[in-house]
Amino acid sequence: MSSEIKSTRRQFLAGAIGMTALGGLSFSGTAHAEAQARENHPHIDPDALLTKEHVTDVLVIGGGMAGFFAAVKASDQGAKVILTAKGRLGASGQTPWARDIFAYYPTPEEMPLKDWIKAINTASHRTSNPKFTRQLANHSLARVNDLKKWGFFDSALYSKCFHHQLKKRKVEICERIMITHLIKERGRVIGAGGFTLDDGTIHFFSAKTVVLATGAGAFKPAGMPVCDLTSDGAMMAWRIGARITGKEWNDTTTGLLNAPAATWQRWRKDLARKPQVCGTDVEVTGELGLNYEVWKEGAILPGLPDADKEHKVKHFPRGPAVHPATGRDPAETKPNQKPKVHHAVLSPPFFAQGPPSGGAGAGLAPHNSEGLAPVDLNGQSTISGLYAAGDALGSCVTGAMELQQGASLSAAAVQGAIAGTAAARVALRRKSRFAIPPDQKITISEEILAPLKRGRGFSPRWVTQTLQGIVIPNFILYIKKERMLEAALAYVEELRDNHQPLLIARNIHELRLAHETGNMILNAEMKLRASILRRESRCTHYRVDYPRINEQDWDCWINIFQTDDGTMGLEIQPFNEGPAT
Amino acid sequence: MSQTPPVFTTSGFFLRAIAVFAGFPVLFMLIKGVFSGRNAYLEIFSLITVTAWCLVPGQFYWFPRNRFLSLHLRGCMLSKYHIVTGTLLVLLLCSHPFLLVVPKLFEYGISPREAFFTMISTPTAGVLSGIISWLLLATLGITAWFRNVLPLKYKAWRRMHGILAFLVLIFGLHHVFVLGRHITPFITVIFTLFALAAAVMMLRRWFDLIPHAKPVRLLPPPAVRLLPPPENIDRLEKQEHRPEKEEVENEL
Amino acid sequence: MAIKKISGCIGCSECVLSCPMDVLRIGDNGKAEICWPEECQICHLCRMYCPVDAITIDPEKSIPVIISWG
Repeated sequence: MSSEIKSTRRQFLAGAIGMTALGGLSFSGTAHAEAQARENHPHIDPDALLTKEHVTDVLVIGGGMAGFFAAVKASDQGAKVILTAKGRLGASGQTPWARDIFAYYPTPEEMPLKDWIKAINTASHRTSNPKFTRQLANHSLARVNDLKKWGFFDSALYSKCFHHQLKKRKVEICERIMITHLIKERGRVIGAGGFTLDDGTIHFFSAKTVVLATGAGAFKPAGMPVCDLTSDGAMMAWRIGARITGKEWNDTTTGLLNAPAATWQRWRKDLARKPQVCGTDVEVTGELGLNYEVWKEGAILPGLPDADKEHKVKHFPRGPAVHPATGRDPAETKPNQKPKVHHAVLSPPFFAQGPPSGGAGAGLAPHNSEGLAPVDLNGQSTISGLYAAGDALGSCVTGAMELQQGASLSAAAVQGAIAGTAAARVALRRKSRFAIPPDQKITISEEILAPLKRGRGFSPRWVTQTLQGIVIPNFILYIKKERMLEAALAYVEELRDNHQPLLIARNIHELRLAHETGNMILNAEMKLRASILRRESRCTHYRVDYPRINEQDWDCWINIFQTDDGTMGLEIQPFNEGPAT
Repeated sequence: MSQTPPVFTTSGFFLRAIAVFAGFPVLFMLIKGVFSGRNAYLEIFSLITVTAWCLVPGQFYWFPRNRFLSLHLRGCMLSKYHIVTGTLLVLLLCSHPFLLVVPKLFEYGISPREAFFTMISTPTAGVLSGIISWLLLATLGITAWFRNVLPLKYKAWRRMHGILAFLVLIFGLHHVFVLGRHITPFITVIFTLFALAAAVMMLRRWFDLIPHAKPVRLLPPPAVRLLPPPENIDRLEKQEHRPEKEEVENEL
Repeated sequence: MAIKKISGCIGCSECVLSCPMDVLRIGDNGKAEICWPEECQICHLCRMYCPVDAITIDPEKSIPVIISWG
């Protein structure tokens, strides 16, 4: 084990030196890159790996809250359901860390529904989609009650509760399978392909409809335990023609400056407790918040109080926090606000100890703000039969920032249930099933195993680290300016063109890393292109060169699609032309 | 009688024996620094369980009729030590699978019950030998406590007690070697030696390999006791066998 | 260095299943092994799922971290 790590590090260094030399000689092109690459000696024989096939009505990809509810509700409709997860059901992605779940109680004490939706829409500078916000409010209590019935609130670990419910419904659970390809035939999704992380068996799932519940994506941040989220779902959907939205937004979670990777130490008090339900409590924690302040002040904020003294944080003595883009206090703009609305732009969320540092999410977007562009409230994507739910769906429940505590987990449950129901109904209505063509299977198998079969190339860990070095620094995705974005894009394009095709893997673990790296490179390109396009500042997108909000030109979402020649196309979708009900 | 008699105080002897059986391995573990990084409860729990296990080979040494020891300690004292430490060992070792999952009470992760069932339903050799030795140990403890109500003659009971103890040692050692958190090659060697010594001691007794050698009786008993007059040696010998006789009589 | 040590593993493979980053595998001796500690995101899921508290975790990563503001 240790020898393997050592050799990896050595090779990493060797690779780094190789690349420096490459830069100095100003070579370009895959052939030259390959000449500099290292040899690959796989520990397993890729030709000996088996292939397995499954047939189902509804395929749910992802084992978090959205995937769980999609599987439950699809199964309740009478459809045959298979759920696949890269990790463990209920213990991968962001779900294991979600402790608050929002429920809208229609009681006089709560904020009236209309006001709440309006408050969210105003505070998010109209980036929220009020229809999805209303959908969340209408369904959240029912989902929370479902969860209460199933014992979800009894433990901080959700896997057992989820497993129990799915087994009761005879849903086939395929854990530790990384889905790498969605398969489209005659304009509709007909299945998916991937491999198991344990033995590398290639699995093909033939399905009538597919629900993507693959969560958000980031660049393997040090400061948040979401490193398994590499935008796999959105990227494979994009590759078969789906539209992806909201790539310019950024999560503003902070980390610990002294121990950036100590995520458990940071959220310990929160992670070690049982989940709980929370009601309407619009809190403006998004915007640029701390990231902007840190940038303005330079490095560390000197006077930021410890989060343990939470009451002090709520009355941070810097006066009203003014958004750099709008020049106004978002909290003030809310109509008929009750005192329940906190304004906590500068509060490090949860329980940080010691000075905080911005950008812990490293490329993560605010919940529900990015993902597949929905065409209706069922989470139907632009491809027939392909649904998305939760963080994989760009539903913009609270817009391009996080405003409602617990809304993300609740939205995952609500959208998962709705997408699962819709997918099952469509699947049961469809009489015919398109089988996955044999040549497609061969192509996909080849693509999956390519990093194992490649004789020379680059280690996925090194390419990932290089990518992280490009996109994680604050001046790329947090404090944006066109020149830097263009520069970063040039780097990312280099990785995409000359390094991603040369990713190598020596074992199944590295095979997973290779595919994740490919997805992250594509995701980086999307984030940079969308950021370059939005020439304004709004919510969690801040451009130094366009520091004001531009309501006239940019009251729109940005969608990314694949053009006919395979390149990235961008389109704008005005806020008032959101998905119809 | 002209030689100066060696002095054995009963408590001193007992402490020395504990120092050999438990103190030595535990001290070695502490020096090696294997206790680090976990919470205080688990560290203390580990320490207690390891100490308890180390004393298991000691029980073979402190059995009431060890002829060598009974020169220095009265049989009833040895019997007392054997019973007190034995009871403690059985209680501690039998409760350690339950004590192990207690920390799960203080975290809203898996519940202690779930942890326990996951543990015992894991079909690996270490867990199986653990379960077997737990059952044997529990049987050992129960049959020892309720010896008087068992329909067994003393000799048969003693034989059973010995066999059970030996099996506990064998399965327990397997469990410890496979699953022990603080197992190092050195500790493995020490435990193996202790176990071998215990086995040898018991086998020797079973096959009566210890001759009823009179010469050793010439050594004086501990100075803290009154020196028995020479003619009392026979009486002591008789006393030693008394419980058996009582048993036999009761049976009859 | 992230996940540091596994001692007293009973081989139930709960940690292998629950690791989102695929850091652990069951080794030839039937016990969980730390195979790729570089990937460990210090999320403590393995420790929480471990029925016998066999896992020790360190708050530091085993590889240098890249952060937005340093």
